[in-house]
Amino acid sequence: MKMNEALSPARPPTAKDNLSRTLLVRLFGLTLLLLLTALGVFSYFAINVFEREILPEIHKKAALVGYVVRNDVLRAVRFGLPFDGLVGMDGLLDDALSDNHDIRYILVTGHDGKVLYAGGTGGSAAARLIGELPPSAFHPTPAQSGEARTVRLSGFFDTSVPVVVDAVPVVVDAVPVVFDNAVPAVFDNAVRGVIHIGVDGDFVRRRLTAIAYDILTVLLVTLLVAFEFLFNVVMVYVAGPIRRIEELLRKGAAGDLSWRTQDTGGDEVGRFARVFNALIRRINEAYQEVRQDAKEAQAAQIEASGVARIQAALADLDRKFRLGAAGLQEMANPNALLRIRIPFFLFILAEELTRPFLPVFIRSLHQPDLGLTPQMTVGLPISAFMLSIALITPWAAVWTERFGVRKVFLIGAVPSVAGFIGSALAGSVLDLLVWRSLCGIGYAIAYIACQSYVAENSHAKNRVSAMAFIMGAVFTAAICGPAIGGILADRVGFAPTFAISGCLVLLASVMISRFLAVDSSSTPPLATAARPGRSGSSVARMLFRNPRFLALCVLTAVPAKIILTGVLFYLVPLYLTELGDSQSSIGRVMMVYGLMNVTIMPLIARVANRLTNLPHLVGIGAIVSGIGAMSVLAANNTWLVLAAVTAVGVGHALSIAPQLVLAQIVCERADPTISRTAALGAFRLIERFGNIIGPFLVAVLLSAFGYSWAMAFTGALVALGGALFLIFMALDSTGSVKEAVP
Amino acid sequence: MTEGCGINRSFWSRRAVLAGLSGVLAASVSTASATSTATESRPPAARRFRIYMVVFRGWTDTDRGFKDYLDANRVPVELIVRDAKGDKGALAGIAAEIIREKPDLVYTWGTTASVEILGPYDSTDPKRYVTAVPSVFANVSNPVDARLTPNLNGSGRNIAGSTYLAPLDAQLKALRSFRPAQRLGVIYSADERNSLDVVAALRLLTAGAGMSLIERPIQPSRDDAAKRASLPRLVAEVSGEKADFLYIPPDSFLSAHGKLLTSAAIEAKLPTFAAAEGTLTGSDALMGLVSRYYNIGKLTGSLAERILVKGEKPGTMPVTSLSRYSLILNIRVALAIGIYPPMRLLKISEVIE
Repeated sequence: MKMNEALSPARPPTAKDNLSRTLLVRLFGLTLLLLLTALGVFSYFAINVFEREILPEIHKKAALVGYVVRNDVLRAVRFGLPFDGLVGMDGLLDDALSDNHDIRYILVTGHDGKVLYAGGTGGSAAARLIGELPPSAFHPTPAQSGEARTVRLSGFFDTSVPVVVDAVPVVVDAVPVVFDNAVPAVFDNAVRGVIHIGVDGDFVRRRLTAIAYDILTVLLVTLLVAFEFLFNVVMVYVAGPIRRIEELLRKGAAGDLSWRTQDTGGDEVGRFARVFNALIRRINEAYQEVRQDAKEAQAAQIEASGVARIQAALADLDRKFRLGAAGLQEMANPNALLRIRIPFFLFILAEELTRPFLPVFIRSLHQPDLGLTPQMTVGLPISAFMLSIALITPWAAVWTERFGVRKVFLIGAVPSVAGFIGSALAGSVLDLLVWRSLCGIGYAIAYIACQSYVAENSHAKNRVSAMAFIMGAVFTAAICGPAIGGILADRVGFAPTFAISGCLVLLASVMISRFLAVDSSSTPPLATAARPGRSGSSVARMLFRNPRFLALCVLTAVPAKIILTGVLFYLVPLYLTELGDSQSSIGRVMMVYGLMNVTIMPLIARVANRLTNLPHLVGIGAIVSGIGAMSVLAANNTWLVLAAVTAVGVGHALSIAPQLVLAQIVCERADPTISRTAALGAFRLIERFGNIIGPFLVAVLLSAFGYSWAMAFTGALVALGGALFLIFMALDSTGSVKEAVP
Repeated sequence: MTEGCGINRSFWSRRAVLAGLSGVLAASVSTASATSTATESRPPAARRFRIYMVVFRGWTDTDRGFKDYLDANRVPVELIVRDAKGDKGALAGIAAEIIREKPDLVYTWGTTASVEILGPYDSTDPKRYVTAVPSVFANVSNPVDARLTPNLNGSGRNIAGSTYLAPLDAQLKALRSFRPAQRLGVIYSADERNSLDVVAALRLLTAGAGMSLIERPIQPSRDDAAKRASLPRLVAEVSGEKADFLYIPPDSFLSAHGKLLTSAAIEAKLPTFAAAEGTLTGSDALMGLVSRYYNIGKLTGSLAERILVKGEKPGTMPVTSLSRYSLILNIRVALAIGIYPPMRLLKISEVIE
């Protein structure tokens, strides 16, 4: 969706030399080191605290469950029911177990240590071991029943397990598999039996692992965001100005001394720039003085040869040096792109935050009175978002031309903020439809405004790399967003996370209004290349007169979008929730999609730039993503979903950028009058159709076949499309595309 | 008014920001109106509302709950209690007295007293029945069948009231949570409308649940002794049909002679489920799902307050019932028949020891 003309790796547009790079690398290394150290120390303490504080809490909770069961049993005994003849203990124990997932088993033994009632799993092994011990090991005399006792059992799940009397746990082994907390049931001064609560050691370990993952995610995201900001600060305030002065010095070395640089800012760089400007000014003034002197000397000269000599000397000076006779020129600021990168990053990040929980959130609002299945209901707001993007995009381009980037970006922030705040407060799916559509409108406007800005601030020559540079922000957001969004959703809830998204958009618009104030409003909007608003009939003509274009769209582009919105945005979060994953881990799984794009796309760009194998990349990408999605059929677990997401990420990294290039080439070949941008516009329009139908298609499949089959069917569809496309291109006069390439 | 408020609230709750606001508004408006009407319409200290309380079998928990509610809410009342002492014939005289005295409100206890004092909705004779005074009834198991009101949404006449029976399907569910009964026995008076209605409903429910219903009506007779004598035989018949449970409907005759019925059941080791709290506390039934009479009394007291203090029209007030019921379990009976309650059930039961 946002893999635009990213055919070359994300580089700053004017990175000719290594100055900023080395500085940046050093700064980044230092930041990395500091952050890693801080986070390492923090994590170490966090995990320590967890083990010290949380573990006893878990045991306390287990003991509490033991007390509840004991009280229920003793109440029955007090009514005169026999301790060993209670009815329906299974139900009672099941209730206790279903409320406490960290408890593996509950056993109730009689006064002789024999197990009377058992619930949960693994109880029989525990029962055998408990049976080997004298009953007195678990219950001392009633008077002592409050006293903690530790009994060491060996061979229990191949490890030794501390057995604790009266629920005061003492950890004997570092990582036991099960903690047995024993609560004696004392009635009429006699121990009638013991309630054993088996706490799952694995559960504790899983909790620890989950926290470690969260910390790692935060680490990764912190690094990415830190780099994003660091990069900008260094480029805007240090490397950029110095590079400009360096360029002026080079000009100066070549004799051109007519340029000054911007010298705003009171920091070292600003002072440096001022000194440089003073120097230039001094030289120019000196030159003017020399010229003036020469003029006077010339006027005073009677001898013609003297005049000629002075004129020759001046001409020589003018030949060797170019000086600002008519005042100094100011060096244009080449860092315009940087000004929009962070606001744009924040804007995209706001939307990406919602990815891991949006479907789950929508499902929680589902009301049957709409007459829709829950699956359809979940699809609606996702599609509404995509639909409003598709509808608004052509208009957004028109508005940008009319009002300028800054204004349009700020206008786009209004529906976005309203959409996010509304989503946070939404009480029904109908409300949410409206709010999500507003978010879509804002997203489309910001996206187009940003694209136009890049077009305004780049030349035809470097436009692709400029676009790639901005897309870098999108990729970073696609990695950070789901990961952070998941953690936020887990910790503070869905509604506050929407609110945070709203705040990010606000922040982005504040930055836009400050950073773009001068550049954009003073610059008349250039006629940008991206002029959409193509009529439907011309798109249809392109499609149906050009079988290659048709094949590309129908067999690869639309399926790719279906798998993106249907599988990644809709199915994956719901499926993972079904598998019991937390929002944080859903976010981490979804993050991998962005990660794959960032790591693989630059490699592909290098290959694709040679433009010899585009159809193969497109077809293979589709097959990889499709077959990857089918992998969930093997088993229902998170790792396979992760594998599927990875495959979709790899597949898209392989195919999306080549798709775009191919679309332009096949259109140009079929009809040279169609411009590349027109072809691209038509292609985008058709793609967006896939975005909209993806959730619906998957909803239908989901209602009929369940999660793994719905995902597999969609995958099969995509893979089949890819295969057919490869066959089509092979049959269609092999190499025609190669020839087309200049 | 309350109805409108409710709709407003749910409408606004879609917009959470406003919901809090409207909640505050609604709350303040309702308190304001409550206090203002209370102060405006509250009579001077000397003036108290005169309430005639017509009870049928002496002062019960329901009556106590009614009085306690009015006291707790500082409704100034003067209670004039008339007890029919179980004699239906005495009620016409009490009605005549009320028509003459014109109190502010009439309270009637039980189906018999309510019908005899207030009369059926389709033949109200203002000389025979109390029609001019607003009235509330309590402990009427089925006011529609008793013809006190044409439906439960409002009587359309000068009376309001409360019912006390738990929904029959909830009762059946509670019964089956004790043991998964397949064969349910029921003994009832063939001449009591209440019981006939309940049995008819029970037929539908058991058929729907795939259970069989063993019905044993008590033959109508002027001779109470003969009817009493038939009870142990009927229990033996139900037990002989291998019933898992015996259901005791809200039946006046069985309420009066529940002990006889339940001791026969205990002898036959047959668990019993009673529809009315009176049967549970007055006899040895095993269990029941009931409204506590005391709470029914308080609920009825709140109706009286709305009529007297807030000036609401009784005819537009729906017949109310409690939304929560008590599962009552007689553990002595369980021990006697040797069938113990499942732990889950025991956990949520109010146990009679």
